[in-house]
Amino acid sequence: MSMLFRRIVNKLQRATCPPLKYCTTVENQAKIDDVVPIISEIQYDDGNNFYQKPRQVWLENLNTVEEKKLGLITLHPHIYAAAPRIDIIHQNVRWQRMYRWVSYAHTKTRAEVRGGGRKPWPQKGTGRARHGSIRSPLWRGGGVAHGPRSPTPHFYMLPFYTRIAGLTATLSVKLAQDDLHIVDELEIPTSEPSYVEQLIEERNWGPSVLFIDSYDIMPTNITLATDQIKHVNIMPFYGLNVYSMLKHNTLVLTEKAARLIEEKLLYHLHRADNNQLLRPFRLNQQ
Amino acid sequence: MAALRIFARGNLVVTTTLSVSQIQQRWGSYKSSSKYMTPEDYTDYEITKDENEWKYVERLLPYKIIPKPPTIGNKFPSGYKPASASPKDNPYFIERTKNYMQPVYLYRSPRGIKKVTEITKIQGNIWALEHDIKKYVEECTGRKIATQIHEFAGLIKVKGDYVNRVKEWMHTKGF
Repeated sequence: MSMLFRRIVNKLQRATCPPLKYCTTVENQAKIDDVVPIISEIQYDDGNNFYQKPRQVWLENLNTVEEKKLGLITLHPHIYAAAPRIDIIHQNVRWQRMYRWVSYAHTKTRAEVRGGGRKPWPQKGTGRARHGSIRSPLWRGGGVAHGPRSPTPHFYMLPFYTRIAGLTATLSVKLAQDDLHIVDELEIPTSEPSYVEQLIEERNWGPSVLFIDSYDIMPTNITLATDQIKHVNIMPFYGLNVYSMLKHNTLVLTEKAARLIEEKLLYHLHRADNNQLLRPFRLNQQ
Repeated sequence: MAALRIFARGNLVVTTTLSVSQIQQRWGSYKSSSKYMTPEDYTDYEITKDENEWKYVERLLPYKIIPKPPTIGNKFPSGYKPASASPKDNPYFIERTKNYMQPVYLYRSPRGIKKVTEITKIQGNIWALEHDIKKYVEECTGRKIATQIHEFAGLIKVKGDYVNRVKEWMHTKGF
């Protein structure tokens, strides 16, 4: 009876809690009058050839805990609205885990186990099975046949355009799932880790956040603030990779970084020297 | 005769000592040959700052990105037709490749018996596209054809070599 009563009380308590916010696209309650919205319309060269619309993303700020929408920016659909190819994403993740894995598992063969050089008993006449060495794989304490040998590298290279497709697919997935945010810059007012924690809590960015800037020397405050929080990381744009994007709940790009990523990936998708680029990886080398 | 021999031997000795005093060089590689220090001796040139002449230099440089094809309306001896369809003209859209060619390929099994035509870069209603292609190819050839749709990756496979038929159909639609 008391159990039942306790459960009912628990349920009532839960019901009185404020409703959870699941999505950051909820309309901005705070009215900000002093911000002039920045709307960056970009005319892309191949703009009349898009099946997907160019993606429009809110430009947010980091200098207050509360979210302010500073404007709208337009992103290229071939980079930020590509097909969510989870097969290609998986290939990329597998490659990133495998190429750095060296297996140190090791066993001794029959030649490496100590002893066993002499024939344990004559071939014939004893009534026992014939054996040539006490370290044969058939014996207890003998060597291991076809065991793991250390070090075993698992390095391989994923094709170049599969890596590019992995990046576009992951960026598109992150944007479609509302896990990609664009901020104007990474300047924050204090170097206190609690500020970053509050900000992430306030904006529902999930526990782990990856900040991407356009350059590898970051603003001092965010560097100090995120230094002690292990699940909040900062990275220059050239370090962006599929594994890290999936590892973190939310990906935060600065506007400049988003543009640089877009520019660089578009260049790779249209570059004229790809024949030269892929020549070293061809199997039929001349 | 003997004197001649001695003379020849002496000469040989002199040449060998000379070559020993030099540091050996391999002239086999282009890297090991000495550099031209005075280009004036070899080529005649003048430095110009004229901006109008830069275009002649520019056209010799390799392209950074693949240049756009000529605009619609031109006739080419190769039979190439640029894409004319807008993405919103049909319920489906086939994008050109980065070389502005139609993404239709023929794949053959190792001994060349099995032939599969593959159409990639499809967006939109892939089922309607497959229906239209199938209708066109079946009317042209008078044969039933087998197709396979991979909606997730946006590609259609047609059993048999129908590359040119599919390309013809795509030209009628402007893809």
